[in-house]
Amino acid sequence: MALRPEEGATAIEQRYGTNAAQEWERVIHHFDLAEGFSLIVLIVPDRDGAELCAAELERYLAGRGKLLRRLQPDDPAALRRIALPLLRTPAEPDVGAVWVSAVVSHAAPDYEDWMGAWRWALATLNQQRNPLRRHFACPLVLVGARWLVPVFREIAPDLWSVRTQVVQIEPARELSEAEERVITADPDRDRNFDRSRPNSADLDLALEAVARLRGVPGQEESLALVLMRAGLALSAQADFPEAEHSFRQAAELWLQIGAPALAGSTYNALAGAVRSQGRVAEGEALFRQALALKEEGRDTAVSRGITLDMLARTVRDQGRPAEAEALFYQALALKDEGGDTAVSRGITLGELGRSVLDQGRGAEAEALLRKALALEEEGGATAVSRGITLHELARAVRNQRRAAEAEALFRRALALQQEGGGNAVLRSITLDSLARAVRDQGRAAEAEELFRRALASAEEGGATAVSRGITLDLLARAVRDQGRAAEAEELFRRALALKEEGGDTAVSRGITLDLLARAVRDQGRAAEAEELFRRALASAEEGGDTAVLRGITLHELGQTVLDRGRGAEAEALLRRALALKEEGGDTAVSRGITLDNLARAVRDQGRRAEAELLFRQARELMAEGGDRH
Amino acid sequence: MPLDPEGREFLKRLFARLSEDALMPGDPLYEPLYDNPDTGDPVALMRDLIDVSKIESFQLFSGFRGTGKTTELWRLRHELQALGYFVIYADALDYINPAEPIDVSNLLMALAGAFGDELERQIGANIAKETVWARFMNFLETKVSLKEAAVKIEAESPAKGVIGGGKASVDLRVELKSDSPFRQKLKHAFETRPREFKDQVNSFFAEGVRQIRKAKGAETRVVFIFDQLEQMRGTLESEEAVIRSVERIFSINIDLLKLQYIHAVYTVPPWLKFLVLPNVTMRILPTIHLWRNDLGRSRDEPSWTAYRALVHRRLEESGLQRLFGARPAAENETVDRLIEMSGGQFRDILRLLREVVLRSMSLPSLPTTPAVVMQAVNAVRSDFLPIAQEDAKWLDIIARGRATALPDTEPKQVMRLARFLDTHSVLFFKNADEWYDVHPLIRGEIAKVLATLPERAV
Repeated sequence: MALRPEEGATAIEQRYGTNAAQEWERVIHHFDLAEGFSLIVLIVPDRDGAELCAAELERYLAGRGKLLRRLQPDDPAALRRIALPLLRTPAEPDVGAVWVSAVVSHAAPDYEDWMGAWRWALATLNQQRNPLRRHFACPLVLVGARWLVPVFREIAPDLWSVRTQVVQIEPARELSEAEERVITADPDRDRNFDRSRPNSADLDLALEAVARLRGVPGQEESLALVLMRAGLALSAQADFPEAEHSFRQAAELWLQIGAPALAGSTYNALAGAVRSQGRVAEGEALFRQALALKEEGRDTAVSRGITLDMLARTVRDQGRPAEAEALFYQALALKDEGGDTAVSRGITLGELGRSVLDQGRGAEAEALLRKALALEEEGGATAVSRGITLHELARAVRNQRRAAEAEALFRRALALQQEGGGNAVLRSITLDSLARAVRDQGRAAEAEELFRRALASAEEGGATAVSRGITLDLLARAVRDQGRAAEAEELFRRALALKEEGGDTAVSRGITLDLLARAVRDQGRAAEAEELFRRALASAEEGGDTAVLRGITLHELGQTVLDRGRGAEAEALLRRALALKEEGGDTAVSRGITLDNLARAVRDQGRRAEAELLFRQARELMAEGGDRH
Repeated sequence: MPLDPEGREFLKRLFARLSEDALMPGDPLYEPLYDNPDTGDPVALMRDLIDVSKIESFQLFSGFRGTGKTTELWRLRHELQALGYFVIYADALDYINPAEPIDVSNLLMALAGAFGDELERQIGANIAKETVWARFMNFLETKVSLKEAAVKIEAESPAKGVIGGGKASVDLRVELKSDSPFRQKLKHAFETRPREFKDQVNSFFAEGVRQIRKAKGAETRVVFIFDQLEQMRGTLESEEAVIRSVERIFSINIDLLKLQYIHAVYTVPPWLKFLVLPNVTMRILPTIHLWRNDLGRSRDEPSWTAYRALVHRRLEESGLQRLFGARPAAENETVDRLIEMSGGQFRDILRLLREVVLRSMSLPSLPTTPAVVMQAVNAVRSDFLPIAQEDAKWLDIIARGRATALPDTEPKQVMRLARFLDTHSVLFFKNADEWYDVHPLIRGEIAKVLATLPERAV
């Protein structure tokens, strides 16, 4: 009787499903039945799969007192030369099979090299067909990716003609990796999101199947599958609460059945649905659970990489960019290991770049984002996806104060989004960023126009209140830049209302309050402005804003109080402002301006000599910063 | 629950009877599929031609992969030996590198080397080596004044080794198979002194025949079967050059390959058929045609009878009953379905049967099930996939016209058609006429591919 350890069969079934396990059984049956040389061509999804199958075969042969002789070329050059080592492999009686494996994904960066190596190797082996058959008294197993089959047929027809079996191990999971990406996407920000997926007709069929299978004994696996389909269809329609319900049921069933890898994929989808409803912390917990299950189920490196990527985004959403950065690196390593597509690796690299940028490391982020873009272009990513990466790259460039260059990149990003039919929210985000880059260059009128377009897009796309509030704030600044204080005030008030409605951070609200106060002061309403500055400061302190920004607000407050003739009070405020600016490493010009106002406050209190000294220091600082003010 | 141990043992025995290895004459697994008045028995035809050609003859034999060439050549050898012929059978690949272009000097040397080695094996070293090889090597050393070659020979002793025994045969094979200076000099010798070269070759073989008659009887007739030459196809880089070189030999130098006093049978690449070569007749082993060359592909009952007999012979009655269920083989729909899907290719019927046996191991009991049979058919079908769009177009033309539709005889197109035939995507048939058709396993797939194209094949 053939030895087929239950644990071994379960490993392939756990990872790839029942069909794949049945295909693998054919290989084992062959070893049970046949003697002598045979040629088995084994097609697997990835290197992980090859390793798993090799381990299974090793275990099987060990049970019969035989060895598996492995030849695993490390690089294309070694594969090209495989014929000689293969024919030199001793044909010892205890060798149960010879295994030659080189599994390379079609999307791997060095795919062309490996393809060429396989062509060469097969052509050489083709000439050695008869010597191979004479040399080995055991099966020879050639292991490759799916693209190997037509190559083999074409290049090595003699060898192909004596094949005994071609076995294809394919994942049969309902939730393919592509679908996982779709489901766990953030519809507002993520390039993966594609609403043109399962339509309501599929949902109807899925729900009908669920109704039919529910409660029927022995149909748990099928029920879990159709529940997942229903969840996918619901997610595609953005009905995330119902999708969540469906995924939860499916996940429970997979766990009952004892399919951790499939349960992991379902948890991944569930986490995406939960995250899409704004429950980010809960989404994080579910992604962690999904990862643990995938690890338990020995899921592929690529699949685990996808979940890690989504976990990292969820962590970043919660304002933990450093932690997210570490997770993105792990995700990338897994995707590289598993030979994921160039596009997928590019997307993760892009998300990593964004996390690095969020931590203010513009140059480093730029390098990562340029690599990400190159990968996406190499892999043929969608226009929208490339547009998003370009957008982030432009942000990184703007972060390094290269506004003109950033503007050009933002314009390219926008063009790609429009070409790819990206949604209105995405367009609004890029328009907003473009407008900032234009404003950076002093073109306020042009920036205003772009901010208005961004706002219109945001409203069209149903962007969040916070998002619209941010854009309104920036529009107001561009309007104020052009001296239209009253109009700017009204826009700042609207922006503040949106931010408060959306529950924006205290820091963000504080910034808008500060700018609102300036617009009010511009119109001569100093008392009102002072009150607004105090509110702005309180908000900044509540939110733990940076020392520089708190210093700036304190400066504005101090200046307003000074303008109202309260010199001593202004002096205290301005001294605090200066201290904060120095603590935060503000620019020399900025510190110089505060020192200048401090000097005025001191002078207004009759301390001329002291004031003179302060004025001199202020001038020196401003000159140091290049300001001839 | 898997099959019980007795059931597994039964399937193991069946599996062993489904091997695709070439069969020795008299093997009980051999089914005389070509014993068909429609196609004619190619072995009988070759044997008869040898028999009626009293002194010598020259025949080219071929067949696409999996048609049973080696089995039939072994049968030919057996039948000729039974008639009293002295048959030398050699493997061309021991002497020729199929990946490199070949010239006639190299081929002649390979023929001589193979003949000499086999002679040594069958008759004995002394007679073969001291006279035959020595004279040929002497020619190379002296008449052609190839001092360098002579030195090389001297130093590495292929000639001495040939005279002395086995080791040098291997050395000589190495020399012939590699792009060695020895080969270059051989070519030079032929080009500069072709007539003398050929005379030496003739002399060599004539001496060989004399030695054979001395050992086996004055009336002994000699047959030389040089097999595996059909494997000449080149590598990725050399394919076109190899094709051209083979074409050159068989169009220009074919007469040089005819051996005096010897009935020569060489297997040649089947794609030679598609090149219009003057004075070249090839006997190609066809696929057994299960259907007729008519619009409806009506059944050819004699071929079906032969195939059912093949399956019966392989599985035996008890195996058939147990695997497929109790009914006469002639009425077994499942077996007929598998035969139909094989397209008349016995490697494919054996493969289909093996797949059924393998998959039946997972059943709780026998007979096998329709689902298992369907899976087996799908598995063998998947070996043909994917079908490229351009290939689908050409295959469709072949299926409609039952002809090759070869656009020109450029190597690229010839090899493309040869690949179709070697992979059994296209099958070659012969009754009164020669015709072609597409394998039944992929007709549906071709239609699917074409349906996605903006224009159908005409």
